[in-house]
Amino acid sequence: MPVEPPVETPRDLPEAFRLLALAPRTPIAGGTDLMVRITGEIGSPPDQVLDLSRLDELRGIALAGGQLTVGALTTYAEIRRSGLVARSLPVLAEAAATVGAVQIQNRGTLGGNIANASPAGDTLPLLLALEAVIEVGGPRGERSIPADQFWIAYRTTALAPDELVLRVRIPLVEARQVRFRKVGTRRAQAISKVVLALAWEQADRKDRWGHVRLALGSVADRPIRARSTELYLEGSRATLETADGAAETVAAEIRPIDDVRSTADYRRQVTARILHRIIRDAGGW
Amino acid sequence: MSEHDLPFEATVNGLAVSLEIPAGRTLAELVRDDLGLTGTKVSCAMGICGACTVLVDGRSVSACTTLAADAEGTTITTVEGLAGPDGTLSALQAAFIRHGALQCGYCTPGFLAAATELLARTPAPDEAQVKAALEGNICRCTGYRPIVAAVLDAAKAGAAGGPAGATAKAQHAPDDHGGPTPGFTVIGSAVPRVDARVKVTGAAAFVGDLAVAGLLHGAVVRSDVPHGRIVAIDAAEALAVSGVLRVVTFADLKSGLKGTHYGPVVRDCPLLADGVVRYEGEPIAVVVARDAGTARRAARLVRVDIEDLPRIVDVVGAMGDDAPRVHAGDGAATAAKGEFGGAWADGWEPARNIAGQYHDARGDVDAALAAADRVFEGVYTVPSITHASIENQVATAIPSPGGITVHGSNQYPYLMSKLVGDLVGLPESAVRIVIPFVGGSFGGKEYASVLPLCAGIAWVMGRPVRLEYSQEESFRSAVRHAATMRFTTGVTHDGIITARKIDILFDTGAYADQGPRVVRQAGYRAPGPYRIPNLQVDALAVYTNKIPAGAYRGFGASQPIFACERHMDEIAAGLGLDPVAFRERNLLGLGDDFVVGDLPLDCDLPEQLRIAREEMARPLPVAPGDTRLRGAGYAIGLKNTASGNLPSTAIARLHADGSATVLASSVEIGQGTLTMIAMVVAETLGIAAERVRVTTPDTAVTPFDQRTSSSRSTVHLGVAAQRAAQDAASRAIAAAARLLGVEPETLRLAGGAITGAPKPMSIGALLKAPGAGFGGEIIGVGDFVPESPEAPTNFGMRAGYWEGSVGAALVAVDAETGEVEVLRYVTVSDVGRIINPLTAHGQEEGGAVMAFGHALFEDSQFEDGAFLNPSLVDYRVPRTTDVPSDFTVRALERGDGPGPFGAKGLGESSIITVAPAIANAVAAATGASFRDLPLNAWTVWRAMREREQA
Ligand SMILES: Cc1cc2nc3c(=O)[nH]c(=O)nc-3n(C[C@H](O)[C@H](O)[C@H](O)COP(=O)(O)OP(=O)(O)OC[C@H]3O[C@@H](n4cnc5c(N)ncnc54)[C@H](O)[C@@H]3O)c2cc1C
Ligand code: FES
Ligand code: FES
Repeated sequence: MPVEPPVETPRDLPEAFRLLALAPRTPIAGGTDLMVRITGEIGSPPDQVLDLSRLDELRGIALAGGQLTVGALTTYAEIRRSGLVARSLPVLAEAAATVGAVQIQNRGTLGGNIANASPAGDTLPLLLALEAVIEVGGPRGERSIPADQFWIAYRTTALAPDELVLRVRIPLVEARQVRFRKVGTRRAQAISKVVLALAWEQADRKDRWGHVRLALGSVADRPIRARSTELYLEGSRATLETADGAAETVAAEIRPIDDVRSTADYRRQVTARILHRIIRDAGGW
Repeated sequence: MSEHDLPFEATVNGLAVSLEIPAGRTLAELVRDDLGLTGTKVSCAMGICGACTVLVDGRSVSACTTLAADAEGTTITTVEGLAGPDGTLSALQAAFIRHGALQCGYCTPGFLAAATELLARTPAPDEAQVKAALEGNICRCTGYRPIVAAVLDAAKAGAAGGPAGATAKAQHAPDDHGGPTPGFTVIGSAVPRVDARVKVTGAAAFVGDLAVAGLLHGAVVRSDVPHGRIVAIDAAEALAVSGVLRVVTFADLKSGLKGTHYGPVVRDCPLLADGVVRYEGEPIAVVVARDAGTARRAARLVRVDIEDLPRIVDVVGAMGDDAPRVHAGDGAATAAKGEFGGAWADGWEPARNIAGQYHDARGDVDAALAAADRVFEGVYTVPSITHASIENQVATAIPSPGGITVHGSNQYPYLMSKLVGDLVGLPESAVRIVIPFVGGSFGGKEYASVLPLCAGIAWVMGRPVRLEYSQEESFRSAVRHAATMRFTTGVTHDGIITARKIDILFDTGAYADQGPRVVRQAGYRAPGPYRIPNLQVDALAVYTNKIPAGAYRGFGASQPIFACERHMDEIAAGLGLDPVAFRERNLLGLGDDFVVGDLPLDCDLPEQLRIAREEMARPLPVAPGDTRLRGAGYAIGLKNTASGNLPSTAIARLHADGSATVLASSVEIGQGTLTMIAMVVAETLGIAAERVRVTTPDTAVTPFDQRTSSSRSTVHLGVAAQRAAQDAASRAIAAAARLLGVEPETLRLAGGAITGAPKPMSIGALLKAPGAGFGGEIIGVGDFVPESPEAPTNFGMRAGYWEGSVGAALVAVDAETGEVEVLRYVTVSDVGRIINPLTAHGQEEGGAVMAFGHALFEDSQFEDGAFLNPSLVDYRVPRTTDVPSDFTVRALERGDGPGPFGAKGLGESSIITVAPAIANAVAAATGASFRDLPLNAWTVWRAMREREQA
């Protein structure tokens, strides 16, 4: 007989792990994605729910050892208002600002975005481009998973059923440039049609680009790195020729789909044009 | 306390609460159901619309997707807690009232919560910050600008430390009066809406807020295929769920009711599927349970075995010679005529999949086309769209011995009493329809199917039942007609139209609903406001296996006006003429005949066009670095307002304290009808508008009104209310004159007293005076029965007046992404007389912004009959950031309308020209061709690429 699923609210992480050791439970953080399943609006309700809201160990933002650490329960609103983020990694605040509207930002968490594994999850391409490391843990201990090994298939992560996302570590790199673009940014509440994050290292404007990382959302069944385009850009300068070539490479590299929000062709070409524009702006011409 | 219940403590609106709640409870359920704070509304239940926004420790959150348990130990503020303990409104609430920042009011509590957080964090925000902070809240009525203005104004009041409500007059559109129009005491002033206070405090009651003892809840089991035969319905598992009382199917209705089918023109639609399902989402059964959650969960356990039938997924498929038929025999073949019946049903030919039709011809089109210098042809399409009112479809029906009461969210109280009477086998007079505030309709609740179904279920159960559809179910209940329209026009080289031929196919879905009426009006209006000597129009409403299409604000005008006005721009381009100049050469002016025999045009379109041009001429500087393409576009539209023989009645009661109560059956759907009636009566009685109370419809009490539709209430009920007030006043004056021994002509009624004699006599004194002959009050009655001579066309319907509309848009198009931004919008109407600038501009502006969505992104998508985007997740509607600050509403006021003091209706004029004006602007900016709506980013982008390649 269908009933609302039972919800348990552990007071600390060890208690949460004890519960997870007993049986798999679906964690709930801000609930902005999951609640619709609990209330039966969309999909089937989970059997048992683990409410993470009291796990204060998973909140907060810290800077240490050249890395920015963001707890899984940190909300978008907290990221946007964090002085630490503003000083050390403003692009993270920029990305957080494009996720949903105020009501979503006040509740939605970075950990929820990561675990939800939507191909349209807005922060995910950024975490890929920044080479973030996702720290997870459960009754069997903690481990670190590099972002590019975390989203392994459509809406599937490398998390084991008894594991939680605990926090994200993002290395801070001196000469790194980062750009984040969401098509339709002006309309934060719109599900993204294309998300793009690009990072590279460069000493000055004339210098060649090194360590290029390009990640994309909403163009595949999961957030992806565009490795051919990264290779193409590695060692090049921000010239018109580079922009043209990179745009062509990325258009050939990705295989988006048609859906109610957009068409494949559009996604491919717009991704190319946005990349073109970023390189153009970076070159200052 | 059951196993999984949790203790819950919090401070809610300043009071400590302590209770036990089930673990999975949402904050919205806690607030509404456990605490009875029904000011907070739930609409999407998915975190997308912001209607349920409340403050938790000062942060706005969507209560529908927040676990109540997470708010344990916090401080919660709902709309009921925003005013001071003594009832003093917050600065924001007061500003919302002043600026007309609410219409239906269903979104208002959520906006107030979000804005409260904003002002707490950012006491002096700029416009962009306000828009960003409110982007999570959807309003379908106001067009957002008044809301943004109210928040900015409240911030100013806060900064000045001034008390709420200190700033004097609303900063509104340029032609605002503030005070009354010269010669009037009330008319023309920006009187706050009479329902504003209850709507900003959460006290306004909507159907879903009503508490009813012993109420049962129904949940609908729906078809998951577009066309099929029901083989079996297995409800055993659902019936085993504790709390479930019954699963009602068509068979139960057949034995328990007198009528099982409904429909305004032909009654071709069964309340529950009659053995065949004809669209995906069609109701098949209703699970009735003690609470809504149980009913919904049990509904998922009902197994329906359906054998697929060949489906008709578009109008072309429906018209083929050997196309399957949507209505093959059964109920349809014998369908009775509906409430409109009569001539409206004449074109009904289910054997050809035709639900309704319109044909008209004048002159010799073929000869004129053959003789024309140039002939232009285009096929234009408009997709299905949804109303997406923030309040979903809902009704509560309460049977009683010998009668039934239905509380509905519906525009047609008196038609519903007839329909429900026919269904349950009672005379109309034994059916009581009560319509409280309606949370937006836009036509979606004209003939809303939920009301008759709810009445039927309650009758069969013999118990009170509520049916409250989710947003998805509401999306599946009604759409606007998708249309395919071919326009062929012959012109002379210098741009004079000589002939026009129009073929229109409207996709009316699985049941006729209002389709036959909509398509006839569409056909009648399709030629556009131009002189066309040779004309032929053929329009069909075609059955398909899709959601029944019905009324939508604009009622069949919007689709052909889009086609006509794009076509006009294409012809102008082909002839090398300026599009406005080309229109002017052919445009009908004030007093011209649209069709001989119909009311000559009482709107001055050439002058409206001139004003629009003047507004568009203002320079708009390009921001540095903005390389987007710019373009301007114009469109002209004309809509006859149904008048015919639609009567209205009002009753005015004059009380001893000089105030008045008006009994009327005009439905307050947000358009401001109660305020309009209050102002008309106040003007007539010489009192202030706030001294007039106006009821919402209750057919047991309030007098007959044909219906609230077609922008007719201001004219029809306005005149009826004016006459009722005059009747009461003249009875008061006659009695006073008799008592005082003076001639009645020497006396007048003003300020709640009889004046003109040496000493004024209050109404209270008059009522008490021996021999005055009154009971405890003075009652006046007013009727409005329009005398409309039979018109030779349009089925004898002569226009009551014309809504003429000119729209103009300036857009910027991003060539790389195809994204369109409307930089400036101008809408010019001809309204006769503005009763209240706040509500008048609200209608104009709100209608226009609604159509920004129709122009740029709204599109109910179907694939093989399956509805792909039945919720706001994938059906995008305009939000705060879609509205330009450069938005101008202008109105011509000649005081020549048929309504009270020369007013006309205006609820639909702005909406009909938006899509073509924007499309013409985008075409001008890009040089590409656009014949299909919506102009979403990828469509625009693709059209630009095709043009490059060509
Ligand atoms: C109106 C609206 C607009 C939105 N807009 C955007 C947008 O613009 N961009 C975007 O990217 N997303 C958007 N979202 C999606 C959503 O808000 C985000 O993905 C958000 O980050 C989810 O976080 P949460 O804390 O609410 O997750 P929840 O709903 O609580 O959980 C989401 C999923 O992650 C799991 N989970 C959560 N936390 C953990 C954890 N610590 N460890 C393991 N599993 C966990 C849950 O079990 C669940 O499966 C939107 C949602 C809505 C309703
Ligand atoms: S956001 Fe909660 S009802 Fe729409
Ligand atoms: S007033 Fe905003 S939805 Fe009606």
